[in-house]
Amino acid sequence: MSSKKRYGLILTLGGAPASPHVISPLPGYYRPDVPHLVGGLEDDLTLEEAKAAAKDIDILELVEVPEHKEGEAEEVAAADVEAGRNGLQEARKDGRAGDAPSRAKDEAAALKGDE
Amino acid sequence: MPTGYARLAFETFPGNEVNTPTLSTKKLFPPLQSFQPTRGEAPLDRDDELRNTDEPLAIVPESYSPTWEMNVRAYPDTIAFLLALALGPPTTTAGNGVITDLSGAAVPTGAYRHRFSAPFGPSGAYPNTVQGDIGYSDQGVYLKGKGLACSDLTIDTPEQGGAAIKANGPGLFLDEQSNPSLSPAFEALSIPPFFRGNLTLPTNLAGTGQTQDFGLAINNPVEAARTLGVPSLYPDTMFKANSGGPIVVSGTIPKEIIDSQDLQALKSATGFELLASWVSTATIAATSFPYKLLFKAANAQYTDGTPEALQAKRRLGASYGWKSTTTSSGSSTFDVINATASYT
Repeated sequence: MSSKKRYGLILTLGGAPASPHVISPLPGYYRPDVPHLVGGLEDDLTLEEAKAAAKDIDILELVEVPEHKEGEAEEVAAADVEAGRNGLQEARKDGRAGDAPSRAKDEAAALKGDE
Repeated sequence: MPTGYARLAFETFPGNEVNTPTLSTKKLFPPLQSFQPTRGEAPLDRDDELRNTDEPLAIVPESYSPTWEMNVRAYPDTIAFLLALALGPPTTTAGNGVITDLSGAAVPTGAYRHRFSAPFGPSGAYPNTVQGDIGYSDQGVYLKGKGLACSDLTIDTPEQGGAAIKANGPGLFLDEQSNPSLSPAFEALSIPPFFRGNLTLPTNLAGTGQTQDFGLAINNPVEAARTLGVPSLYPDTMFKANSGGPIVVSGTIPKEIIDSQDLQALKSATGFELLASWVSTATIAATSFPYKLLFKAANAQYTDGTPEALQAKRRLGASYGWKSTTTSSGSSTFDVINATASYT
């Protein structure tokens, strides 16, 4: 097995829209269309943690990420974090975070390390 | 910190206590404001029996009539799911830069148009139903609801708080289950619900007074029945109701200022095209196309209304009820444009 092989977690929730999702208590965002990279030095989950998450959480699957797809995954992740940060601020302003505190907390947790 | 969820999935046929319908691939964890499951216990009261006992007699379980009620904001994925529950499955078309939405805008690749057109489905005697797994996670109590139909769905768009959906209806089964070990996944907060600032009425009665608000209500007459098909204290079949007529889309449209055109339209039952358009500030995936919720009434008519009482106010308004009707077919059409590929 090549040491350069990359892995990612993909959201397998049936019919989920192609948009970022929060899965408590995991950090980061998870999509059905683009894997969330794991195991890298800058990734928020180690490969072992990702394997455990895929085992414990019924809507996540660990997949191999082809080398030519890594760049896209990194770009999408960065854009999702940026959008998430803005979205959390907006939700705090417009009150959605106030009446859904657990969601806002999960979202903040998802952004941990990126805020 | 409270945790919990409701996971909804469409059933191939209305589920009851004993059957096991296949569930749709599409599963939704709506970002709930509230979900109220009610089992509807109606125990047998035997106090009318002559037993020479001057005290209340023990009641015994006789029947359950489940209902549910949900409050949730109008998120692009959630509203389409609930419309599919109330109106039947949409016709979904992947955007290709050619197909257009009800406002005439071309839907690009990467976005999906879900169109709900009257006469609404599904065809046949049964309405669309969902199965719900409801988790009171903090309390360790988990419920399963089956055969949940949506009889009423309203969309209000107040000035603050986001567009609000209220949905409710009867069900065929609701009881505790062991922990289904589901992991809820919610769309990120970066996908906002539709807001008041997103709502416009681009097409309306010619010369109408300035609009103060716009409310939309869907009434889908359904009834839970006990057809003696299975031995159960619960009803076993969800029918389209015989009473109540077809699915009706109606609403309210208060006006800031009394206008003669509105009064005349009410008097004459004038039909007019009405287009309500919620266009999100967020864009879909990699496109620059916004999430949209569009409703078109080909022939809206005022059904009731009055001008505000004449009094010492600098501005007097009016309030009207409207109903989407037709002389042939195609009274109401909804479009939801979002990033969800399918509701099946």
